[in-house]
Amino acid sequence: MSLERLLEALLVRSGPHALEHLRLVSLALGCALAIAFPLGVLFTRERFRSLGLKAMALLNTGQAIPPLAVIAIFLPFWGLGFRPAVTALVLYSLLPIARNTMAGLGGVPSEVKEAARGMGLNGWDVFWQVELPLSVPVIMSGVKTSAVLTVGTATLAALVGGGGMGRVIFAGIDMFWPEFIIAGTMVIGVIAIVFDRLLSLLEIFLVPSHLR
Amino acid sequence: MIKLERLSKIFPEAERPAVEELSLEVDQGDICVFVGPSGCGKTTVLKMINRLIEPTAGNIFIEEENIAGTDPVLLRRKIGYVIQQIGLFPHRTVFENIALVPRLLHWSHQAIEERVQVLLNLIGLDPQEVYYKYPGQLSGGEMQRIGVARALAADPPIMLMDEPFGAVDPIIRHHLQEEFLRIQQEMKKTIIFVTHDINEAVKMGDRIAIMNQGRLVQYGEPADILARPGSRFVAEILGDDRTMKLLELVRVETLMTPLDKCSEKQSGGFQDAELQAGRESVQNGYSWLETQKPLKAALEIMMRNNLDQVAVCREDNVVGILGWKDITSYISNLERGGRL
Repeated sequence: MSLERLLEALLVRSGPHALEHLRLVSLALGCALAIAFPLGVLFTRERFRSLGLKAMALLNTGQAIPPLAVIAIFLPFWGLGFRPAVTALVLYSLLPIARNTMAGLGGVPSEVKEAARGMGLNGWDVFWQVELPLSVPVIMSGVKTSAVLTVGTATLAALVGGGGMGRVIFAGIDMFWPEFIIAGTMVIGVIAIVFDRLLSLLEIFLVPSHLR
Repeated sequence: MIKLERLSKIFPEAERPAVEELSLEVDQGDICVFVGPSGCGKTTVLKMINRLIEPTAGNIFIEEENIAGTDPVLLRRKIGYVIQQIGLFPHRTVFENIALVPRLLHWSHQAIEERVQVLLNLIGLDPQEVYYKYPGQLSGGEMQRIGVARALAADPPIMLMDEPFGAVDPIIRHHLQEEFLRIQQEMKKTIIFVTHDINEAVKMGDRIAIMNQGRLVQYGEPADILARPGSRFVAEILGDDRTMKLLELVRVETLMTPLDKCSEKQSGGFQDAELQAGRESVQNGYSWLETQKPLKAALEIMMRNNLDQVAVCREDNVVGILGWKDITSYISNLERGGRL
């Protein structure tokens, strides 16, 4: 172990890769949210509820596949690089968001929805004024879970040429330099914490004051 | 006026219709109580009136207008809706909860503020105290009151109430019922009220509709139904003490013999001087009660004091006499089909 090498890893090597890592995670998370949230909403609508149960079973099974395998699956089709890495991460981060969106919306007390409809709110208003505000806490916790999970999983992106902090860690493994592994892990940890904190800030704005 | 015409509802895959060929009319300003065992279809009838459930067959007319041709969302804004589980929005303050429908109807902010103040006073809550509270910070009775206030917010001519006082304890329930009847005396809303509690039905209803297995089995004024249940089922619902319930509905003034028509013999128990002197002298030697009290209260006094008649007072004067015989003959007369 040398302090010099640790500092080199942290200060010189990590910088650009940390930015790559952030890009990977933000993009993947953004896409996952854009896909999983509407799906979660759709699957809690009366008409698609039975479909939702099946979709959930599929997603649950998907989560059981190791991330490495998910990343590898795209290799033959998409080759190496940033795009397949992001695609794999999106797939991997869908589930917590979809599941929590469904759980959150499903957990809105039916009597509140019934009263809202009975008062003369239309379907759109019931969703925006009642269902969404009441389920935001649960949905946001899903987003946070997904973010932290993705920050960790994104390490593997380096294996398919997607870049990110995985580069530093795998370099350390290849060279037998534990300093690089430690430095990479530390930076990933910091990124995970930063994501969690930022999302918590967002939550404060989104969750109705009384439900916090 | 609300008119239900051969209304039926068959849910998919149900064994029998939830509601079958139900027809009745509710007059303007009346409380019509649907009562029956659970699963008898009473809530389904209620929800068909604000189109939360669409009937399979039949028509509903409100003020001569067939509601099948109206926009359900707009229809519901003109009908107050109160349910047992209340369903207040937990993320909104009391003010915002009550302001819901007025806001949907684009009332001005000032008009809404004033209306909420009026309603909170009407239901006996201090606006200063509850205005910015959230439902979770209120007691069950307070929430139930807010639920009623929310339904009344836009002053709808019709109210649908599905076991509105079912979730609170008996003491609070009694209180809320009394309070609501007091409010209704001024409001004169047309109300459809659903309950499984026959006592509540008798107390609240101008009319009672008794349902069983989706069918309307008897419809009429509480006193008529209590005196003459049309079937064994109705008699069972009314309970063993239906005559006692009847005695609660009738005020002593309706049966008393006014003082000027009393014969010497009838008023024998009361000396003339004492009768004229009013309540205080009566209090000293005889039993009395006020004109507004139910017959049941008169019976209570007779039994406790071993009397066969009591004096009836209005303010401080004795105005009549009510005897045990008056009550028993009234009941047997009613049961034979006569009217008062």
